[in-house]
Amino acid sequence: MTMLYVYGIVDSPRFDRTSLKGHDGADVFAVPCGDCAAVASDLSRRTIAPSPRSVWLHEHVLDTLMRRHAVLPLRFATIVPDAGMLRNRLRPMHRALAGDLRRLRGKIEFALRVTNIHAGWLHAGDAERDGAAAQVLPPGTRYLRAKAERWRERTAGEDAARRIERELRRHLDPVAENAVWALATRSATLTASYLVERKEVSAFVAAVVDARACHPALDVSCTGPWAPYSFVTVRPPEAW
Amino acid sequence: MPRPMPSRLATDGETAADDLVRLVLALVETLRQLVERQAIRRVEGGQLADDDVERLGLALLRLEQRMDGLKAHFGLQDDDLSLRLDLGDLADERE
Amino acid sequence: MKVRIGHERNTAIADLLDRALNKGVVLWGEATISLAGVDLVYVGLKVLVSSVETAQRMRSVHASDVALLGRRGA
Repeated sequence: MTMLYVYGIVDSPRFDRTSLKGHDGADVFAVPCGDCAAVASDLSRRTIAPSPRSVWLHEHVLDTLMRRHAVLPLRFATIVPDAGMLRNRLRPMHRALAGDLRRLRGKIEFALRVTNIHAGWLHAGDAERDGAAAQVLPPGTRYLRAKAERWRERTAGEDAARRIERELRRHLDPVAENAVWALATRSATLTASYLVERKEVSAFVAAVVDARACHPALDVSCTGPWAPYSFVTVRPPEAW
Repeated sequence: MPRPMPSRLATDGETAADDLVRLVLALVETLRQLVERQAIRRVEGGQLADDDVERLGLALLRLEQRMDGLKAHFGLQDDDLSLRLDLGDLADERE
Repeated sequence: MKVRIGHERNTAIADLLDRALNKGVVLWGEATISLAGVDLVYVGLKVLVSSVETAQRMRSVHASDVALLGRRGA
């Protein structure tokens, strides 16, 4: 039983694949579809578990091709029974894929993470316990007061995150094409995905270093370049 | 171990029921939090008499205890019930 | 060659997992039930191994695994 593992879509029906190996050491090859191609390799199993190794390998295949081509990364573990089924699925999506390839040609993604946004935020729960115990209030009122305190803490955290995002954007937006920001309230972590043109990469990295220097109290980390996972817009045809 | 809301509902019997329970409880929990937030705004706005505050607080406290019971019964944690809903104005607390 | 700024050791793998497991092009998609623009229910093909718990375990992996793969693949 051989399946096809699909890594991404490239902007050419064939590519130079000399020594490019994918999962289980299999050769990576092109499955042409009009002007572009799916990037695939044979897989002798039906599923593949995500591990640091397997996910890095997925990314490595895309990275290698990105040196010469526009590449749309597929989500990890897209596995299909055969090339025929793959081509049938790609055909109706062809124009949208070409559009994304055109838009993302020569661009890469950087990941940003900001922690330590609001030190008091994560301890809101403690305040609730301590506050509730100290006051001699009827239970319902005590409950509401503690909850109110908690919401106040959280709002303050979200406000801090908004301020920080604004600050960091001042440094980074001018040297980037696009950006998507998100706040994970539970872990009080701000994350961002930045789309950067290749020729602006050094300027972007310099801007990150600058931003970090301007905000020493923040824990800002940046990794990349990555394939532009966060900036693909093409969607599959709906099943319904 | 807490799992985020599944991106797929299973279509086979057992897990389908589990996923459905999670979805329902997640919705209930989201509503409970909304109601709670509204109540807090009214209390902080000083619009309610002490008796009303106490009654409201007790009702919300019981609701939370009820939810805790349901979560425990189904072996779910807070992280299992988080829905990424963009509620816009509904959730806006800023004056 | 990956840029890594900041001293969080397992940031790179966490950043990659966030992307490769949750983003990127999806070829076999999921039908979505929406209400007022809110996605409520996803029904679709069970193509992927459930990866979320694995992903959460993976976040504690160190960068040394990354370096190992880089040497082999590059």
